[in-house]
Amino acid sequence: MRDEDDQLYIYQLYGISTPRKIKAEKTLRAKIGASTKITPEQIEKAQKIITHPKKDFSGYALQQLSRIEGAIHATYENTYDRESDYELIIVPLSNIKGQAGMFGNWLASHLSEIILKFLEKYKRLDNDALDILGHYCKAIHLTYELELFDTTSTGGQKIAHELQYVVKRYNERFKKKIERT
Amino acid sequence: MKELTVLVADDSEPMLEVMVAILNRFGFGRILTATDGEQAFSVFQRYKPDLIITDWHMDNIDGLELCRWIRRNKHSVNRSIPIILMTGFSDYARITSARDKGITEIIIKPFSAEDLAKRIMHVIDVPRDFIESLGFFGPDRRRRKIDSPVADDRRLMEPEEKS
Repeated sequence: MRDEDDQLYIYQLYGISTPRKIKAEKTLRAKIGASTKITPEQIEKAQKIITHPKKDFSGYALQQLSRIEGAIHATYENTYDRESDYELIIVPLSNIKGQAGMFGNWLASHLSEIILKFLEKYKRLDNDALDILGHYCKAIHLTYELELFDTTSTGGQKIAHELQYVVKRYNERFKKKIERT
Repeated sequence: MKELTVLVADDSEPMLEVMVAILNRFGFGRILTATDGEQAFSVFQRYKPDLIITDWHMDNIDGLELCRWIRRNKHSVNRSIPIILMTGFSDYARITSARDKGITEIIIKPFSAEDLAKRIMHVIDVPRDFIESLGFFGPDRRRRKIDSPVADDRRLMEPEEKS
């Protein structure tokens, strides 16, 4: 008998292998008292920190962007195993998507969301997908150079439409490819 | 809220500062910080916070690994502490896999102060039962959709319907 089988036998013998439910207790509620809550005034004050950020996020964003650019460059060279490269790209991408929106750069967050959804849909990195990622990186640099942070500005809308257009073209090409095969 | 201690872990300094400022406005008594999972675990063991809010992807030890250490380590000071995971991902499969690893709640970045307040109040008012079995220790994964504060979160990408 293997060690783990032996262990399993002991667990079964004592009934430990049966999942046990531990009933939840309202310990945190008991600590803060019955009526304490986060008030709308507190939420409003906290929201101001997000809406009017004092901290500059651009350094972190550009650092994440250079990680993506480095991974794109390496992936072009790598023709046999691109699965590990996928994670190297998607993690900093999700960081920009998540955090740019917490620091007032809604446009960078929106552009990152477009690309994140695109990559999460296909979960593959062919050369066309890498080209799209290249467009994305240029677009993010542009948002910081021109200080375009708003999704509703004319410039912001133009950049977002261009990115959506290249993603749409990829989708159409992919669909045709599937139909042919 | 002043009776509660919260631990925030994030490897992005600007994000950590924003989170501390937000939690300060919410009135938490003590806010502890860590810049990776390993540091977070040692702070957790030492100061026994009431709640953890952690980023998913951090250099060194990430938020999911931190969760595994807390839930599975027999020396853990509080295996059933509520853990809220912050992430930029909204892919359904990824979110589900995080839940399966013992995360209590997930919040998708960017979020509003109201979103965060809702998640915090949810773990306070609707604590989850825990399941202990040979391969798992964590919040009961079976829960009605109506119990979830993210039930209406349309940013979560549901798997595409098969025709």
